[in-house]
Amino acid sequence: MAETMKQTVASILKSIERYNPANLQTLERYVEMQSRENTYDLEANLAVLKLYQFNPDKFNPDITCQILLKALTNFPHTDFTLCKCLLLESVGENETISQIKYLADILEQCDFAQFWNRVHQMPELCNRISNFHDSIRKFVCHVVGITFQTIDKNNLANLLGGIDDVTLKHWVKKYGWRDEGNLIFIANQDENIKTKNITEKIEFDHLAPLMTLL
Amino acid sequence: MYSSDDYNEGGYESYGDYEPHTGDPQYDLEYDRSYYKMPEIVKKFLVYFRNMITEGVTFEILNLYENTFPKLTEQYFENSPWPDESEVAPIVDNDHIFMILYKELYYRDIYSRVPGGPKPEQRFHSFYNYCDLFNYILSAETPVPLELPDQWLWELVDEFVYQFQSFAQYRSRTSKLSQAEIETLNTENKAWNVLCILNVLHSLVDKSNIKRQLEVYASGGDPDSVAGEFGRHSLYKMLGYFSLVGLLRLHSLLGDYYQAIKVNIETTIVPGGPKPEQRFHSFYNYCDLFNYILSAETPVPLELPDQWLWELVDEFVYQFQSFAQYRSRTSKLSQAEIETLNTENKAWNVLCILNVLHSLVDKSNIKRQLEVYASGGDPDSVAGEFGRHSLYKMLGYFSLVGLLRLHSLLGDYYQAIKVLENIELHKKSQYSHVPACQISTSYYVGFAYMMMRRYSDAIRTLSSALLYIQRTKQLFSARSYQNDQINKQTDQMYHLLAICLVLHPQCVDESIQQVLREKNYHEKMYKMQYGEMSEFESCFTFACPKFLSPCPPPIEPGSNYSRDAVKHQTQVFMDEVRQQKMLPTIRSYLKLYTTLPLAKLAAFMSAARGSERDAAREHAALAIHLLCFKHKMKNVVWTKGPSGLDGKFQSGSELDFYIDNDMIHIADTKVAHRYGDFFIRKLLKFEELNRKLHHIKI
Repeated sequence: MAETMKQTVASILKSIERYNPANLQTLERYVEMQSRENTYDLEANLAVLKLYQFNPDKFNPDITCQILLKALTNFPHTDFTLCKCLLLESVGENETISQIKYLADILEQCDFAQFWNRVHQMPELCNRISNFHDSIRKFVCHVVGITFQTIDKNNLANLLGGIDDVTLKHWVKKYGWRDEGNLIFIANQDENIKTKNITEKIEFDHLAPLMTLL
Repeated sequence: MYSSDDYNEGGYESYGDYEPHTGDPQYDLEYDRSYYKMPEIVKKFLVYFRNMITEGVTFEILNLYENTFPKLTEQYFENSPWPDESEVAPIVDNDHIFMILYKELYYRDIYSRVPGGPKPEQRFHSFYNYCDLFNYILSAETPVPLELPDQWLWELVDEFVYQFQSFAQYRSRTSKLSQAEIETLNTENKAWNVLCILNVLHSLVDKSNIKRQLEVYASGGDPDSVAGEFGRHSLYKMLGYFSLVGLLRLHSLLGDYYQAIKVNIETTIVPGGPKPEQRFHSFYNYCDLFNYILSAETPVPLELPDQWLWELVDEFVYQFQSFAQYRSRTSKLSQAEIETLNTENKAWNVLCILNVLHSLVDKSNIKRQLEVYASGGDPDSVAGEFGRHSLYKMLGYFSLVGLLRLHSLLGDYYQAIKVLENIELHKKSQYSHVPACQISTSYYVGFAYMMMRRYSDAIRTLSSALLYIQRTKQLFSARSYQNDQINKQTDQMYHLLAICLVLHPQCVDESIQQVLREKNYHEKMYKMQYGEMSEFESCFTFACPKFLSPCPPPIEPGSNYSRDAVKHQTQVFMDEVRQQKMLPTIRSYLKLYTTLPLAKLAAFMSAARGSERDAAREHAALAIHLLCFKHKMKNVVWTKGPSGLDGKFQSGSELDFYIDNDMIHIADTKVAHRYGDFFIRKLLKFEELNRKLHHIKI
C-alpha cells in the first residue's frame, strides 16, 4: 500500500502533472500517510505547498501543519526553511502555523530546553506525527555528537528532553557513546577537529608547460 | 458583406442591389452623396478634431480619438459607415493631412464592424491611404509638424499590419470570391504587397533611428544624442518603435521566427516598458514559436546559433517576470490597462511558462542525454530523433536553466537545484559555451544554496563563476544589453559572496579576496560582521532575484503586491541571520585561544553585554550559543554525484571547536600566502608580451 502510493506520487512529480490541482487529494493523503507511518518525502510535500501557492482557494491549514512538523523531524536538514519559502504570505495569520514556526526558530537556535517545554504544552499537535519526539532527539544527538568530546550526564538527559536513566542508556548505546559515571564520553574529537595549516603545493604538472617556455 | 437589412433603417433600401460589386468605387460614392445628410454635431466634431490636430493638442486629440469618436459612432453610425471623404472634405477646408487621418479611422471602423470584411475596393483605398500617410511622413525633408498621441500611433501601425494580414487571408479564399472580385484583385496587384509593408516598416525604423536610440538608452545614455533630426520628434520616435513591434508581428505571420525574435530582442528595452498589448503579442509570438517547434512531427528545419537560443529562452522567462511585476504595480496602471489585463488572463500565466519549459525539456530528451554524458557515454545514443538536432538539444538545455531561474523566482530552491541534475557546473562541456548562460546559472544556483544554508556550496559556486568573469572580463566590457545584465549580475554575486563569507568565513581565491577588500564591499562586510541587521537586509535585497508572487490576486485599482514576494523571502533569510546573531562574537573570542574554559568565555560574553552577573544563566545561554554555532556551521556540502542536492555534512568554516566537559578546544585554519599561481600567471603574461614584441616590425 505504502509502496504503491509512493510510486504513484513519484510518477506525478516527474511530469507537469505536479502542477495539476486534481492531484492535490492524492498528495494530501500521502502527507497524512507520512505522519502516520513515520516516513518522509520532502519533494512531495514541497509539491503540495506549491499547489497551495498556485491555488490559494485549495489551501489546507491542517495538511500544511503536518508538512511543517514533518520538516522539523528532518533536522538538521534545512527542509523547514525550504517549506517556509513556499508558504503563502497570508498564512501568517494562522495561529498553529505561527506556533510551529516558533518551534522551528528555537530548535534552529539549539535552545532545546525551551523547545521541549513548548512541545509538552502542545501534545495534541505533536502526537499527530508518529515518533515526533524521537526524531527530534536524533537531531539533538547529532548536535551533541559534533560538539562534545565528553558531556555531563544530567546535561545530556536535559538536552534530550528530561529523559530517565533507562532511556538515556538506550540513546547512549544507540550512538556508541560510553558511560563514564557522571560523564558520557562521546568521541575523540581530536582527530576530526584540529588546526589546519594550508600551505601552497605546486605540482610538477603545473610547471611543466612553463618549462618549455623558458 | 453589408447585409441589406442593416441599411434599411438608414434609408439605404436599395443598397443590396449593388451586390455583387461593380468594382467601381465612384459608383458607390455617388450613391452615398445623393442620400446622405450629415448631422450637425458630427460636422462640429470634425471641424474641432481638425483644429486640434492642426494645433497639435495631443491630450485633446487623444480624448477625441479614444472617447468622442467611438461615442459618435455608436450614436449616429451604428449601422452605417462614417461619412465619405467627399462629404467631409469641404467641411474641413480640404485639409489634406486631416483627410488622410480621417480616412484611416474611417476604414479602420469599416474593418472592425463589417461582417465578412470590407470590400476589395475599400481594402485598396485603405492601403493607398496608408501609403499617402507614410509618404507624407517619410518623404518630408524636415520632420512634419504633426503630433499624435502614442496610443493612436501604436494602433495605426498595428492596424496597418492587421489589414495586411486580413487582406492576405481574404485573397487566399479564392473559392469564395466572385468573378468580379477576382478580376479586381488581378488588376490591382500592387496593393498590400508584402514587400511594400516591409518597406514601410523598415523605412519608419530607419527614419527614426530608433535602434540606435534604444541601444544608447539601454546603456544609460541619452537617446536624443543619437536620435537625429527626425528621431527626436515624438511622432517619428514612437512610429519607429511601434514599427519594430509591427515587424515582430509580420515576421511571425510569415513564419520567419528567426527575424521575429531578432526584432523582438531589440524591442525589450523600451522607456517605461512595453504596453500591455505588446506584452500579449510578444507572448503569443512565443507561443507560435514554441508550438511550431514542439508540435512538429519531425524536427523542424531551423538552425540557430546557441547564443541566440539561450537569449531566446532567457528572454522568455525574463518577459514573464517583467509581466508579473508590471501586473503587480496596480496603482500605476490606468483603468484601461487593468481591464485589458483582466480580460486577457491567459497570457503569461505561470503554468503556461512551466508547461513550455517542461515540454522543451521532454521533447529534447535532454535529461537522459545529460545523464549519459555525465557517465561518459555518447548522448546521441539516447537523444532520439528530436534530441539529436542541435536546435532541440540546446533549447532543452537552456530550458533547464530557465526552470532553475523560474523556480528561484518562486522561492522553490529545492526544485531549482534539482532541475540541474547531471549538469556539472564547473566542468567544461559541450553545453557550456554560452557565457551569459553559465553566469546566470551560477548566480541562481549560488543563491539557492545560500537560502538552503549550504554556504560552502554557495561560496564554491559563486567564486568559481566570479573567477571566470575576472579572467574573461574583456568579453563583457562592451556596452550592450546582455553585458549590462552580466555586469549587474556580477555585482550581485559579489554581494551574495560577501554575505556567505560573513556567515561562514572560509578562504577563497586570492583575486576574489582582492575585490572584496575594496572599500565598497569591505565596509558592508564589516558592518554585517558587527551584527548590523539592516546591512544584511540591504545587501540581500540588492542581490536577490526579483521574486514573483506565484498566484497574483485579481487586479483592483490601488492594491499593490509587487513587493510582497520579495518581503517574504527577505523575511525567511533574515530569520536565519537573526538565529546566527551571536556567532560572530563567539568566533572573535575563540580566535584568540587554542583552549578556553567555558566559564571564562561566559564571563567575556556577559562583559560584552554589560549586564549584571548570573553565572548559572550565563553558562546556560553560552551552552546554547555554542551548540547553535556547531549546528549552523555543519552543513551539507556537495562532494560527488549527479544531483546538486546530494552531499554530506561537513564543517567547512575556517574556525572549529569541540567541548571536552568544561573546556573548549579550538581549531583554526592558518593559510600561508600563495605565490605560485601569481608567478605562473605573470610568467605567461610576460612571455606573451615578449612574443608580441618580436612580431612588431619597425
